[in-house]
Amino acid sequence: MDEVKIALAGNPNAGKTTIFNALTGAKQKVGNYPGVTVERKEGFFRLGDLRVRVIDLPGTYSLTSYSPEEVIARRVIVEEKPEVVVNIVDASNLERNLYLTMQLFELGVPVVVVLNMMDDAKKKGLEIDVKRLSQKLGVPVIPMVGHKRIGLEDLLSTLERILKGGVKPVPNGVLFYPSEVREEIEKLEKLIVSEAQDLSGYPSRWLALKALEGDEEVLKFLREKARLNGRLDEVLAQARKALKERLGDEPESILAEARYLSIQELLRDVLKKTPRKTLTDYIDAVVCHRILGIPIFILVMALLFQAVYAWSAPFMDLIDSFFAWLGARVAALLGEGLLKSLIVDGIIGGVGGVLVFLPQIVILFFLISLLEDSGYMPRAAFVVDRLLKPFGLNGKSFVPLLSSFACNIPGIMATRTIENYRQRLLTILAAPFMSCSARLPIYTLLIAAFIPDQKVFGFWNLKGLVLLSIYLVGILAAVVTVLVFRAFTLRGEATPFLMELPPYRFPTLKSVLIHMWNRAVLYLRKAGTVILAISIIMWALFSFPQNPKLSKDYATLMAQATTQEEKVALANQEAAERLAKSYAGRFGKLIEPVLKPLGFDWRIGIALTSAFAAKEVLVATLGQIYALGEVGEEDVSLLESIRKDPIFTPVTAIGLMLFSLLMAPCVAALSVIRMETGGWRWPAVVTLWTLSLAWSVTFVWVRFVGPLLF
Amino acid sequence: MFLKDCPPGFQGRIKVLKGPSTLKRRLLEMGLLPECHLRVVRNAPLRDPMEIEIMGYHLAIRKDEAAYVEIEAE
Repeated sequence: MDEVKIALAGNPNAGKTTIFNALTGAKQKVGNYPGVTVERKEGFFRLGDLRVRVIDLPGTYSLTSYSPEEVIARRVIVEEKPEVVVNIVDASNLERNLYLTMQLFELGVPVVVVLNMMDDAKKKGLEIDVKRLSQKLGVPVIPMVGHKRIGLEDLLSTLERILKGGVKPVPNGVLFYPSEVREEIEKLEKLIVSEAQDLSGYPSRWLALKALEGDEEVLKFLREKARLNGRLDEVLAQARKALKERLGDEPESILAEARYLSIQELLRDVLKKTPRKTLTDYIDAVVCHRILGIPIFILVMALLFQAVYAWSAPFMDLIDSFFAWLGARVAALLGEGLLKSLIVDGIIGGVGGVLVFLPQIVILFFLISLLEDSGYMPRAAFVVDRLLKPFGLNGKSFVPLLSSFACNIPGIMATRTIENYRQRLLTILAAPFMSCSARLPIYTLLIAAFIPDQKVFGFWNLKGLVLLSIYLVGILAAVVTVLVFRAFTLRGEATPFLMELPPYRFPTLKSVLIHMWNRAVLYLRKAGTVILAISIIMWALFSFPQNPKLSKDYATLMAQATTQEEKVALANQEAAERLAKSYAGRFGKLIEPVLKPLGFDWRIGIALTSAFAAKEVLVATLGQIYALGEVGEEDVSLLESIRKDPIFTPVTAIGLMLFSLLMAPCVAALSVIRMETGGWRWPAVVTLWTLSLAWSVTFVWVRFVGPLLF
Repeated sequence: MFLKDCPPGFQGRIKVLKGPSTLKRRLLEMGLLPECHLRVVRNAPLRDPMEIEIMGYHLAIRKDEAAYVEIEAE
């Protein structure tokens, strides 16, 4: 079967995803463009005997080079050469949406325009002469209501005609630039055509236009790949100067205005407006209300958090106990030995460790899709933006950060709702400091063991105060991290926060489910494999070498033991000694000198190492070290044993809480960071940064601050 | 007068865009064009950002950016 490629382009909120879902159904592949946090979505559908591959380009308002999304959108259009670009346009917001259309026309690619959300346009009192618009543009224009599949047949038959007939819809000359601009473009184009070595398929006129606009990517391309030096800068400088003199403005403003003027001319006898108030206006009067806005926001966020935190718990427990049951069954089948240990502790434990996060991911993305598709998400960002602004973040970072308190993994994945690359990365860097629920058992144990039950200022329970402070330290660390990274590596001009507030819409179940499904698959495929691999490595570290020299002959002692208690004690002692002699134990001793200044010894080193696999494992490892067998955070004997251990004081206990709060997130979260940022670079940065921060903060606490307070 | 100082309900026309050229371009892309009519819909509960209606759609813009948009009342 022949395969052809088409691309979907459009503004965010134009309903691109709805059309994409309508075309491809569930046959979608979601991934990342290499090296960047931009999502790549592909799907397939059949058109007679054609197999059509659809690339859903990132939603953009423009095709400049100021954001990775825009650069990628145009790169795909030029380099992957789709047969047609289907431009999804929000009919209820025609004027601004056509701005992107004009830029697609500049690229000279075949375009089909979809006027989506015709129903909204009607509700807003807009009347569009579709036929006239199509005539004026010179390309097919298809009115649609994406979520109701109205117009889909029309789109499919238009595509079929184009893809099979080979007649490419090429736009009419609807774009008018001032003659002064045209002259300069022509001069530049001549220079490019005569001197460039290699244009890699980019149209020369477009390159000239973009060079005039001062587009960094295009200039770099012209200098490096097309090897256009010296003369280029000279001609450009002249052009800019000439335009400034004759039109009184920079080329980029002149061109943007020219595009809009062309659109206004285009719509003059196409669009009729009789504006009326829509439902959206009424809802917003409440949701964004001066006084009600914040309570509503808090309510929605509380529900979201509650859902991720509490609703997922029974499912997580179910998954947990299923794998525990499976492990026990398999263990019984295999008997003691290395194979049993590998399969039960390594593989079944590892797979369970991957799957256990799935309920949270699924629930969070179900709710996020609802919030996004309905249109509340931008309102939430609008309401809360002011709070995040001082840290160089914007309102859209709020939901990912909040979700991170339940679990960093869905939180980091939720950053996909942030369009801006830098903001997104900063939010990913801040997320691991939101103390996730897996860290709670550590705090519960240590607080129960070492923080006295007393009141501060007469009314505040000290235990609660310590717990609260830990969470606040995490938030503070996130703030410091964002400020540091913004100042040093993710510098550059602050991106202006301009956010569209689209009309409210009823989310469709289908699109919500598809979104949820895509996230789940992405997590399992991309992060799951890494998590599994690392879990097995961690298992190996804790189980090898297999037969270390032990101080006592446990087997003989065991045979001599008479009571059950004695036997258990012996078995636990043996396990503790094996752990001490494992690679993990040796690693603990190896890093002891580094931990010594913090008041930690090699045993805590082991516990912290194990916390990499999953934070809550720290408690279990402490249990093993203290030779107690399986323990939980409320285990009385573990409480007693660590209380008796001279290494632990209230100060070191809080030190350990701080360290496990701030140290690198678990491997699952790290592999999700890798998945989202498209490489190992950022997970490595996160690991190094968080470890250094954890060490420094704990050091300051244990040496200076702690002793003053306790 | 600048957009950042305009109260909710205010209607006016954009006179000039000031500020660095990248910001200017972003504003233009979002439809803030000289001569264009706009209406201030509301301020966010914490006074910033503000919501405006322009080209028939609603846009949230921070006061920092609105400080570069010069307006004349109509």
